[in-house]
Amino acid sequence: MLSDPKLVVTDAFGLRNTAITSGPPGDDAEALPAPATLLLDRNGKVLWMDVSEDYQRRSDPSVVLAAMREHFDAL
Amino acid sequence: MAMKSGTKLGIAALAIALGTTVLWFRMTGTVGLPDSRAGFVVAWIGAIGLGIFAFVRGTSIPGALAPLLGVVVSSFLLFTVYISPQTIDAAKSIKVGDTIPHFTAPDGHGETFDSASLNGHLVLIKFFRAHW
Repeated sequence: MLSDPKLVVTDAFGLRNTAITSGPPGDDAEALPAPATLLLDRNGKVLWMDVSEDYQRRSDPSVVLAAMREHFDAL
Repeated sequence: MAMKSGTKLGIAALAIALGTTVLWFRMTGTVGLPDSRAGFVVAWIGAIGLGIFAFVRGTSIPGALAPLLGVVVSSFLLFTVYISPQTIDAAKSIKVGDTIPHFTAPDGHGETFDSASLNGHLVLIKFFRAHW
């Protein structure tokens, strides 16, 4: 588990939540990443991703497992 | 001494607020929230309305605690529902087919993780809010 308090990695991936819960530009106190899951191949290429449009509703683990079977089993 | 009618309403408001909230956390704990949270919203608004009505009807001083808690708990949970939508900048976000950027980040043991170590491995990355 890694830490990203200033959202440097989150911003590199473009996954900063820009909705109401984010603070004003320049103020990271309220900034958060959008909940997201990514599957990568052995070269770091994104095979599948799921970004929650709502932090209270995220993909069921079975959805992620199905994606892993679909994309990882073939590799 | 007979309980004031407002106090009874306040207890009902708190019961609705707490019961709805317990159900809410049980469902979120199993990633089982329904697509529509309208039922929860209606219940919390109902608890707030009942709590306010309890004060209008009159409560004892200790009896005011129940409706007050019911209103506070319901209001907070409603606020969390209101702020739950997430939006990312589609122009900036990584997409399927992109290669992830190189990055480093500290782990929980004070060590620095380098994404180059992922090369050659199939990887699952999760972004989420937490703190330690």
